[in-house]
Amino acid sequence: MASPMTKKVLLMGRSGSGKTSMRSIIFADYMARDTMRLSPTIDVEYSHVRFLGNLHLHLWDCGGQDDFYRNYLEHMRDHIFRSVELLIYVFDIESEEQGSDFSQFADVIEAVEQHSPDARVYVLVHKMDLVKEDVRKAVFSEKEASILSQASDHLRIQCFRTSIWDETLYRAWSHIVYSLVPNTALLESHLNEYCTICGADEVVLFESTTFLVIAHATCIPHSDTHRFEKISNIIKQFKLSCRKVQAHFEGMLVQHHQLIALFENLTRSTAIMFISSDPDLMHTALISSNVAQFRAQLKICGLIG
Amino acid sequence: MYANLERWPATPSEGDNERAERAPRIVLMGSRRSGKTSMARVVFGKMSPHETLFVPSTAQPTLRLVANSDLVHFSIFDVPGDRDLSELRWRDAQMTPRDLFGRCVVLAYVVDAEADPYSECARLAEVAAAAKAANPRVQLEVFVHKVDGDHFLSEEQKLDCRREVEACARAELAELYAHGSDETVDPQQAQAYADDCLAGAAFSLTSIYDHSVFEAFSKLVSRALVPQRIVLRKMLDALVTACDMEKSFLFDVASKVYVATDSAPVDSASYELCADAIDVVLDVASIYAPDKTQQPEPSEEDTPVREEEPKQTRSNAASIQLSNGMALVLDEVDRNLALVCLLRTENLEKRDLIDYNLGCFRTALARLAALNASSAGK
Ligand SMILES: Nc1nc2c(ncn2[C@@H]2O[C@H](COP(=O)(O)OP(=O)(O)OP(=O)(O)O)[C@@H](O)[C@H]2O)c(=O)[nH]1
Ligand SMILES: Nc1nc2c(ncn2[C@@H]2O[C@H](COP(=O)(O)OP(=O)(O)OP(=O)(O)O)[C@@H](O)[C@H]2O)c(=O)[nH]1
Ligand SMILES: [Mg+2]
Ligand SMILES: [Mg+2]
Repeated sequence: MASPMTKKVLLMGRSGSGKTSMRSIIFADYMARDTMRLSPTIDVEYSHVRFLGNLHLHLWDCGGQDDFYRNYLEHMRDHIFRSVELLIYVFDIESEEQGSDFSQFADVIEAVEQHSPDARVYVLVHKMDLVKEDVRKAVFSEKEASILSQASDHLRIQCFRTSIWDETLYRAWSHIVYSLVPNTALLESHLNEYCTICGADEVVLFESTTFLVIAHATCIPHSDTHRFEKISNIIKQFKLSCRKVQAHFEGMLVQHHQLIALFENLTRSTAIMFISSDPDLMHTALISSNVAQFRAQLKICGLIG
Repeated sequence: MYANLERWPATPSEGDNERAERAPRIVLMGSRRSGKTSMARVVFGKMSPHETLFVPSTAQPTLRLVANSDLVHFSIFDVPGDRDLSELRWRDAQMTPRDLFGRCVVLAYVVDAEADPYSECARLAEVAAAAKAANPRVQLEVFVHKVDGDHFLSEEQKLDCRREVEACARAELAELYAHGSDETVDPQQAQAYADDCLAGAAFSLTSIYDHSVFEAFSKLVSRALVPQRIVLRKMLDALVTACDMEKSFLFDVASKVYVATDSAPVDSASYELCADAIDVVLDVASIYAPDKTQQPEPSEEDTPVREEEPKQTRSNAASIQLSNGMALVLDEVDRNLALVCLLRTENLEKRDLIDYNLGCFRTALARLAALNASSAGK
């Protein structure tokens, strides 16, 4: 087995912006309302997340209080900002200190650029649930524009709007982890082939602890572009329900009018979903045997452990 | 005209007024701001818990019709908390305790767990005594409500609170009896009266922020308001035995309240899991098969329209597997009614047997509905 790939991910932003909340929901199965009991992070909390067999994430959740930042930017500068694969920077949309938010962001960007010029940067404009729904889009666009104007042209920066109270959280984080998965093109080509063989409308691959989407193949187009993050959210909620009876979610088959949806664990770290609108085309027994085959194929490719 | 009437999930229509008046009734009482309107809306009106912060205090008694299926058909009479029993008015007329409790099947009394238990229970005793005097068949259910604050972090604290409320209610009822007569009353007799008033009364711990309020309403509805509850229980017992299941619930899909369950005891964790299973299945279905799920519910007519509906070849169904050797089977047995069964995974392999028995259950349920309709028509 190949040695694991470890990627350093920095989680930064001012105190109270919601970094630990998001990390806990995505990686530690917290419920959204449990985050109200979190206390501010002191210095840096390191966590090691095994994501997709061979890919390991080293998350550095950096406490956001100003004193800590002085330290990060001065004494610990090299330690913190060296060999960063990815920086996730969080803005609280309801923050009352926008000026300081931006100057800290600028300092962080400068340090990353200096020590890890190849790092990718994701900016999350967070707590969007606190903004009235009809102006969310406008508020986000404005914020995004000012963020991008602050940053230099050298780093690749992408902005997302997020809230722990809806599926936007999963949209952003799916995007982020997707960028870390190696060989996605090969994975998707296998998936496409597989989708056709099964006569499925759509096949989606999830990482099984976070239920974030890793790859998908779509044979029959679907109008809802937000469906994957909705599914992540729905299944994740149900996984938490299963926890209450000391069990894990292992699979589901839904037969609903003109729909068959099948969820199955694929490998230790992935789950797969099949969707078909033609029940005659999709025989669940057939799919099950195909799953086994696909699983073997992925193992051989060394894609997913 | 419908100012005091609400119908869920749809808006009131002609005839609802009368149907609500005729339906078996839950009378919802309790002190001001104890959470009566909130709990009714969260359970039967799909309101999210934090929206209830904006629910205004109820000014007039309000009658709500809940008519989701043949089995789930009753009304809820929401009485403002600040009103004295003697000053209640309904449709421009004075309301006597007989008017209030005559059609009442269940008196659901909401005690605010954050308020002073003594004053809460003094009022509870007064209302319970009046109900008993007006209609001895009224069943009392007490909701010890809002057990989600900082005082109730542990299970032990909640149970303590319930114990206190129950003891307090008993004491207040005995006291009421003693004060009600001129002669000195034998304390044992007063105690016997209190016991009698509380006989069969359930004290449930509830909060709108978790499943507890849904479970409490499930118990209430399945115990007192479903017309064929005894037959349904037997049918579920038969199903569970035939398929070697651990537990089965017949759910009202709209509210996630169960209307019937088999004789095995209910444990809250299983109930929650089964209720959440309905959500996960419907949510997935609503993304990939939105046509059916987004259609407005056909409004219920007085004449059964069942025969005209296109015959469905296959019912909506789902199964879910868990790591602890358990599995869930879901089956939409009728419009708005879903069976959710908990069984060991190895028994799921006898899928044909399960499907056969679910088919039998559906047939029996349809027959029951037809019987019900013909007896109602007489
Ligand atoms: N309304 C709303 N509140 C949120 C959201 N995300 C987090 N919060 C709340 O924000 C508060 C602070 O969250 P934390 O995750 O502790 O913040 P942090 O960024 O880790 O703070 P430091 O550790 O001090 O840097 C908590 O009470 C969360 O419940 C969100 O999307 N919407
Ligand atoms: N913490 C908590 N608050 C609740 C709960 N249920 C209701 N509330 C809150 O209690 C307040 C009063 O709720 P209402 O439903 O208006 O109370 P009511 O009993 O109908 O009051 P009246 O109409 O004045 O008799 C609202 O702010 C609700 O949000 C609960 O389970 N927990
Ligand atoms: Mg933190
Ligand atoms: Mg009210």
